[in-house]
Amino acid sequence: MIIAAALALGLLLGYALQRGGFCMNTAFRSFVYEKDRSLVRAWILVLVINIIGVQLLTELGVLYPQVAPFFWPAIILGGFVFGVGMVLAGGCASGTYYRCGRGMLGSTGALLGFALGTAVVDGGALLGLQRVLRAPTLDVGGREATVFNLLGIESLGARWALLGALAAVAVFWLARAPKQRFVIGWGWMRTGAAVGLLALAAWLVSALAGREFGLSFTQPTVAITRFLVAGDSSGISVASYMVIGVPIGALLAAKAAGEAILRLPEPRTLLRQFGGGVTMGGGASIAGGCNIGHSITGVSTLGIGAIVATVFIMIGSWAMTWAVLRSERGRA
Amino acid sequence: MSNENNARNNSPAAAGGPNADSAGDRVLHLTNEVCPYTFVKSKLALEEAAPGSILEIHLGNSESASNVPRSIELEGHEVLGIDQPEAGHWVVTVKRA
Repeated sequence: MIIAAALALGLLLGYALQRGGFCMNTAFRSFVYEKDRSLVRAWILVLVINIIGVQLLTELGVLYPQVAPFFWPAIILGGFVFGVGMVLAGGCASGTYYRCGRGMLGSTGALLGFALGTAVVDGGALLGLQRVLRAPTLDVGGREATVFNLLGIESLGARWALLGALAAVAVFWLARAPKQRFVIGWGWMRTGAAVGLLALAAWLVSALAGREFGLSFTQPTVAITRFLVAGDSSGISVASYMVIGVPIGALLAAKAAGEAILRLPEPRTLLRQFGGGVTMGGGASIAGGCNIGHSITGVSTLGIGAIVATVFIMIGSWAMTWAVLRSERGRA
Repeated sequence: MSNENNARNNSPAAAGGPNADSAGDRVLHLTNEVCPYTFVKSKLALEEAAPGSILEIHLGNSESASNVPRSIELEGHEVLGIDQPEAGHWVVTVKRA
């Protein structure tokens, strides 16, 4: 029953990602290189829904979110490497999954690379590197590194004053958005609302199965890879069924829109996307999460590690976009 | 560029890659490219183009066909139109500012 719910949730998520063209690679890049903020708005809306939702459900005793430890060397290095990888792969972890579903073989290459990269670092040949980088952790006086603990906010009133202020600033900015031009499929608001509600639902479906975390792509990818390659099903959880649903949902959405087309990039591009996938997978397994696990689910627990990882994913993507611009300029 | 792309294009300047025709206008084939290369190549082609010239950008995925024109327009260029000659193929026509 829970497995069916997880598959259905993944299916709906894949559908929403495809309809909305939800790409966090583009969102992060646009901060520095573009004036269009449509995908940033979609991401911020996802965060507002999830931060408020997860905190409220935690206060009500429905959720007991796990906050990832702040192993800062792994977070900083892994986040940066992931950011570099997603530019080369032509999409973030979630972007790669849904584009693969609609037939983009370059993204299939990136996905195979991502699976390989995660498995090499997480329990594979580079396990030692992951252990060394994750050894030093920071906490707040023996307590979890969260925004509330860091700021010394204890009372219910103070917590909600801070959350209310954050949400108000975000909603004020979103409300001032200019009309989005050239929309194909869903605009940023519908996309952000759909992905946000599905990400929140992922917490609830996971909780039913005793897993106290929300949507993630990295750990489930490692788990599926290990199961397929070594027959080890110990890591398979509801989250694995969610990610399996994503490409199928994207295929259905793309079929309806006539965009389900097998497309093969040039050999060079295919190789670049595969290499980008390996890089992205390695980075995510070092940092303990990707653009979803850290930048949506982790941030909604208000964990410092997830927030710092998100910043370094952005810095990595800016650095790599700069390098791509430079090399393309040199070639022209 | 693959032959498939070239065959799809009926413009005289369709011989692959950015080419100049007699009017100095250009065609950019990016149907097999993904983000961020669609954005990077469009941006660079517009930087190189002469002010007032027309650039025809061929894109092969809905994200790019929606993000690239939006980004270009906010840079001050004029998006003259977005056509979809067939499923999974968009043509964005831009006039450089």
